[in-house]
Amino acid sequence: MPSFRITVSPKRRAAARFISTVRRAFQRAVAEERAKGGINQSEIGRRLDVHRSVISRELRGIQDMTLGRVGELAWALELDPVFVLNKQSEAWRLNLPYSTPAGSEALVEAAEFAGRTTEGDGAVNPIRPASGHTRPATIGTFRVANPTLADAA
Amino acid sequence: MELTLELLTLMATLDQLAAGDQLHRLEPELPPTVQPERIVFGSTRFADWVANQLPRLRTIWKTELSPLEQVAVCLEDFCSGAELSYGFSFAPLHPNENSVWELKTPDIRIFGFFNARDVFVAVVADCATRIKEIGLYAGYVGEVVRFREQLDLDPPKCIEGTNPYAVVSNYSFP
Repeated sequence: MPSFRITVSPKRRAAARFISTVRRAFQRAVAEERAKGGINQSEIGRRLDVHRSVISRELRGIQDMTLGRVGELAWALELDPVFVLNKQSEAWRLNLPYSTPAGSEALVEAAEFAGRTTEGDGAVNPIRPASGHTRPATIGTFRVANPTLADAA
Repeated sequence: MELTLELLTLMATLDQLAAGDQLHRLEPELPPTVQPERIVFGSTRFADWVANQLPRLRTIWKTELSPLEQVAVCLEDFCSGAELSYGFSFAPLHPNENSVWELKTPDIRIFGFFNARDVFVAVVADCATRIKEIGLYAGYVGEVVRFREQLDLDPPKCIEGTNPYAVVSNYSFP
C-alpha cells in the first residue's frame, strides 16, 4: 500500500475546513498583534470579561466558538469579520479531486468564471475579470479584516 | 499532484520507500482549486492507526469536530500550504537534538520528523490526554528516532534542530 487517505464525508469536511479557516484567521491576527507588541491574549480576555485561558482554549480549538463569539473576538482585536458565500465550482460540489479529468475541466471552468485563465500544467494566472460574470466561483472564504483597509476598498 | 521540482525530487527517494511498504504517502483530499504544497508520508503503524483506530476516537473537549475530522483538516491544511501557527499547529519536542516534531489537533498529537522542508514523515500518533496522563512523550520521541534510523535514506535523514523556518514554509508565531 504505497498511499493512504483520510476519509471524511464531504459535508463534515466542509465544516472542518471552515472551522479551521476561522481559527487560523484568529491565530494569525493574534500573531500579528504579538509581533507589533499590540493586543495580547490577556488583553483580549480583559476586553471580553473572561480569563486569558478562555482565549487560549478558543485559539487552540479545544473550545468551540459560536458565531457571536467570532464577532466578539474580532471586536476585541479591533477587527471586523467579513463573511462571503461564493459559488462552488462543479468539481468542488461533486467532491472531485482536481487531478481527475472532470475535476480539471471544472477547475478550468471555475478559473475562467473567476476571471483567470490556465496555462501550462495546472497553472492559474489572474487576468482581468471575465465579462458577463457577477459572482466569483471560488470556495467560501472567511477573513478577519482591518476596518481601515476594508473602508479603503 | 502538481508539486515543485524540488519536492518531486525529494519524493523520489521517499516514494521508493513507499513502494517497498516502509512508508505510505498521504493523498490529501484538497479542494479542486488548491494544489498541494507540502507532503506527508506515514509509517505503516501511522497509516493503520488512521484507518482503524482514529475513526473510533471521541473528542474529550465536547467540541464539534471529531478527532478524525481534526486530523483530516490538520493534514489537509499542512498539505495545502496553509499558514501554520507555531505552537498551535506544530512544535518541536524535547530533547531538541532528536529533531522530532509534532503536528497538533485539539485531541491528537502526530509525532514524526521533517525529511526536508515541507515534507513530514508521520511515525506514530495518539490522544493528547493519554500522552500527558501516562507520560508517553519520551517514548514516542524514541520511537520516531528508532524508526528514522532504520529507514533506508541517505543522510541527512531529517532536518535537524528546532527552527520552524527550516521545516515549514508559511507559518506564524501566535
